[in-house]
Amino acid sequence: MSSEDKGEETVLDVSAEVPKVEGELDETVVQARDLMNTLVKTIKAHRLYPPENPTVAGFSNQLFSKFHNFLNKYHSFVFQVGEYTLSFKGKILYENSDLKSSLAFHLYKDGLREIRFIEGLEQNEVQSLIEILSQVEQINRMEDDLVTLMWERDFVHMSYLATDEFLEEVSGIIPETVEQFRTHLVFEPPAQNVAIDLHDDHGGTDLDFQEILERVNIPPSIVANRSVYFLTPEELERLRKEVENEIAPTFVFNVIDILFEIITLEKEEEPYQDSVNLLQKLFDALLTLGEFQKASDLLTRVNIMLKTHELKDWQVHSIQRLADSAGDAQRIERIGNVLEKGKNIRLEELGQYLLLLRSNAIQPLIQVLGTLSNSKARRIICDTLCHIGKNSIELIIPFVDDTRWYLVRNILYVLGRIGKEQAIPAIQRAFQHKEPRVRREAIQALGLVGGTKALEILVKALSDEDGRIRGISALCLARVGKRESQPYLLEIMQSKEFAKRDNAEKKAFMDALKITAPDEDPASLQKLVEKKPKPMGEKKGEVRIKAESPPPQNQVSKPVTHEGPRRSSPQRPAIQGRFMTARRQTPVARRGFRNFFKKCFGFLTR
Amino acid sequence: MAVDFQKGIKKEPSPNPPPPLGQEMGSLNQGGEVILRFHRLFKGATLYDRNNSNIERLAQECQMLVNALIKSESHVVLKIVRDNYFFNSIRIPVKADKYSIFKSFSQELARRCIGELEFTEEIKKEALKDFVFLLAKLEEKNESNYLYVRQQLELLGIHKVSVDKLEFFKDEDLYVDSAKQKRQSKEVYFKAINLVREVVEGVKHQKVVNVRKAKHLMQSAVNSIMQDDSTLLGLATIKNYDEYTFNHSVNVAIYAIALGQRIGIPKKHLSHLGMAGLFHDIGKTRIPKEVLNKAGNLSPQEWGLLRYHPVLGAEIIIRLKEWGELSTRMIDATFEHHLKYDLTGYPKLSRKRNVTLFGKIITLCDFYDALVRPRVYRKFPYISEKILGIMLERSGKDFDPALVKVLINMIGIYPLGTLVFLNTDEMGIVSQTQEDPDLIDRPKVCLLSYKDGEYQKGDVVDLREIEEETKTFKRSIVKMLDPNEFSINVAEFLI
Repeated sequence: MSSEDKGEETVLDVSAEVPKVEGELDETVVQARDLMNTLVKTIKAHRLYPPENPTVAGFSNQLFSKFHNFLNKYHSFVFQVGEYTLSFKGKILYENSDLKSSLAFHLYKDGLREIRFIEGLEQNEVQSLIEILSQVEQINRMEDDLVTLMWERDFVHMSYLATDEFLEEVSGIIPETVEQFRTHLVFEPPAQNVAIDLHDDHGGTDLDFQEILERVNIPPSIVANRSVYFLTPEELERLRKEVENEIAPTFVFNVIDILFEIITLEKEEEPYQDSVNLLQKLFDALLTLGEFQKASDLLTRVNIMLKTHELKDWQVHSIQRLADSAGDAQRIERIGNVLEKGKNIRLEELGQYLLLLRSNAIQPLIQVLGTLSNSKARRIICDTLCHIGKNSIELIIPFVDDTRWYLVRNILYVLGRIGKEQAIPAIQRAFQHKEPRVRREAIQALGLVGGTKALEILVKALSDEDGRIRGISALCLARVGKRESQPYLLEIMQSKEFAKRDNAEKKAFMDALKITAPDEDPASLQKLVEKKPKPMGEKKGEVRIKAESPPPQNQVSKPVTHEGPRRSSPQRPAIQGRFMTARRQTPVARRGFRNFFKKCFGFLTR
Repeated sequence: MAVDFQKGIKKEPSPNPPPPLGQEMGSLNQGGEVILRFHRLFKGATLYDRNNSNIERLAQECQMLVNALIKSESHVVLKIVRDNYFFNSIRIPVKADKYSIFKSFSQELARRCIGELEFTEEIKKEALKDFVFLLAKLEEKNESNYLYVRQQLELLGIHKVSVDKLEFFKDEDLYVDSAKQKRQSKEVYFKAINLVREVVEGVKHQKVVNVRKAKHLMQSAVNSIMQDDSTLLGLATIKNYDEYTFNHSVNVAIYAIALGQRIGIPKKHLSHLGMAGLFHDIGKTRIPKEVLNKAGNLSPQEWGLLRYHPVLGAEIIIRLKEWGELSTRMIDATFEHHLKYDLTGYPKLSRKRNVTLFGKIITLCDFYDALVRPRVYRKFPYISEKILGIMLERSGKDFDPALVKVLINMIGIYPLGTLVFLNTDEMGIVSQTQEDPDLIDRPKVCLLSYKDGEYQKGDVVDLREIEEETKTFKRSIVKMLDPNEFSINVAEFLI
């Protein structure tokens, strides 16, 4: 036995509660004791361990198997409940007088006096019983007790004997004779309120009821007309489905509609707030269960109310708080838990829900983003941040300095997608990151942000020590600078060192060049690359220095396309103008860019 | 040949023979079909002698089914464990239209302490008749019946048919005799009226209300109705005991539970339905007394206030109960019980939605009970044919039409508590409906006799009974009567 097993044995030791029965015993009692022992252990295991723990499942299976064997052999198992004991055939099988932990006392306190099992007991029945007994301490005593919980399960092969103190307590006389009954009858004319339904259409006094009766058309023969009471197969099927829907656990959320009706109608603060509080509970439950579609509907309705209803200040305050709560850390954390655990989360619904959040959700979402292992969910959160963070990037930027490289990378992606120049200093900082994947993302972000500053950094990045970064930089630069970036690319492509670089990088540069001259055929571009480079003697680093100043006049003015007037000097203002249209690239070029990325990196993976 | 509702023309028993084998099999499962045909044959055996032509037909239908199943399944085992049927070890679901038959058959077998029927070989028609008559004539509550049947089958040379005893514990519900059951139902009924009063007072004075107690009471009501709904449905003919509103709430709860069980709502949810019925009008506690108790006409403002009670009721439940399954259903039913099926009722909704099943059930039961209540000019409740007429007229508009049908199946076309005049010149009160919808016009009737200046309770007669010589029904209903004309309070005969 491993030490772990030994530990488990100690924790689940029930020898004190299930004592050895003294004296001569028949076989039934010995087996009943064994069964009781397993029952108590299983309950303990359920209390101690989470349901997915194999110990719990192990005990449950063992218990069912023991029940099965016992009942097959003896047909029934019945034990009596004493205040602190559970007995079988007069022998005490369980004894514990500790009020908190005693199973017997919990059963006894709620009125149970005997529990019976018969042959045919099913595994789900055993499971349900264990669930009930292991949760005795969590029962809300104002509403429930063990008898109610057991009654509600409607066991087929299990029953119980219970006393009902509650029913004893209900006061009032139960008429034993007709005379007693008569003395309690009231013959005062009932008030108008009880006739309300009949008066909906007719509006009048009670006397109108007679008129209503007069006007009623009775079918000539109800008996002959079987359709009056015979249910069609369609009606039966509809009723069956309605029952099925009504008893489904998620039915509880239907009350949301009513709560919205109440807050639409209610003009008093206290009941209004009660309904909003309940809506809040339902909303939280929806998040916990991962019911994002319903959560979206709820939040959308709240937003519509805020925008379209004429509300008093206190009403606005009340439902605004509900709307804001969607973005608080506690609720976003719930979503994180659901995403981490949930297997059947509909991510599209999650995406729609997250888009409803406001800027207060940004930082909690980033926290969740840093902990999620589900890559699809991470992508959805990034998309959300791009959407809800576009006017609040100051809330996103601090996370560029986070210690988790993968989070920084996601943040850079978000900043890039948002595309605000305000983020460039932070992106530039990230470009110094030791993790190449972060640097690559920073380059890509710069490519998306565009602008003069981005161009400068991208030109520098063409000489990065990492070949893949140089490749991406080339593509980003081309995308940002278009034709104006051509001299920078050619300068490198024409250098001797470039010939030694790997094919992926060469291809990236070539693709970048295509972006700068989309109408040029490949042969012409190749010729351009093969043109004699500038006089040799430039040392490493010179390109960088040159990049900071305008590129040489003669290079830029070289014809690279056959259409339109040639561009004049690529002065900074001119370059800047082109940057503004950086994202308008041809589909072919965009595809090349994407393919290169796809080859080099898996998107958003750690 | 059908019976005319007004004239009560005699007709042949069992007017609608079951369809031939195979026709119903598509929609009903095999087990359900076995129960249906066995039940018909069994009921026939309690009414007719074995040479009756009906018995011949019913036995043949049953035999065909059993033999067909033996061919396909090799054996037929029908087992009853509490109220659940198992056919060849598979639990059979109960559908709304067959509920009463399933219930009745299990109760007939339980009364005879038989819990299992087994066929392992094809059976001849005469042997099947022997077997069923043997079962029908068994002594009630005799736990050795199964041994007796086995022995008799042996003597008759019927070897491949067997029975087994019903598994139960002595104090379990199924062992409860009808007198005890009636006493329990009565206790539940009157305690529920007191409990509603207690809760209403509690809500009025903003005291903490213990929901557990109400839950227990509704569980008892469900138990009672599941055993035999006729007692509590009979008690629901009481309309003016103590205080109208409390009495009405309890009646609504009872009608709702009884209706709910017929459409297959599980036990746990039936108790929720009962709770929803019990407190559907709780919103009225927030309406000022002067408006609530006003006997004269209400002003439009007062109507407006009164029509707000479903909203107030839902708000009270929100406060009263921790959110969960039960509170959801109570809120639904309280808020929706005047909405109407086509949403033309109140409160007016801001967004169209379907009324929930519980809401629809409570609406229907609330209306039916209110309809039959005593009125200014009528001291005692009067169930006339016009009551069903109103329900049918509003079916599809105010009420879900399928639920109206279930309600009629439940209370009968001569509803429980109806004072009726029979073709034998006798007068009686409808005390129990028949489980077979084909016999909906042949309820059990408690005869009344006039003695010592007042009407007294007589025998309960079954209108299915046949006059052997003429082969016609012994008694038929001719018309419904107004109890006020005879100063009869029907409820007195049903408590």
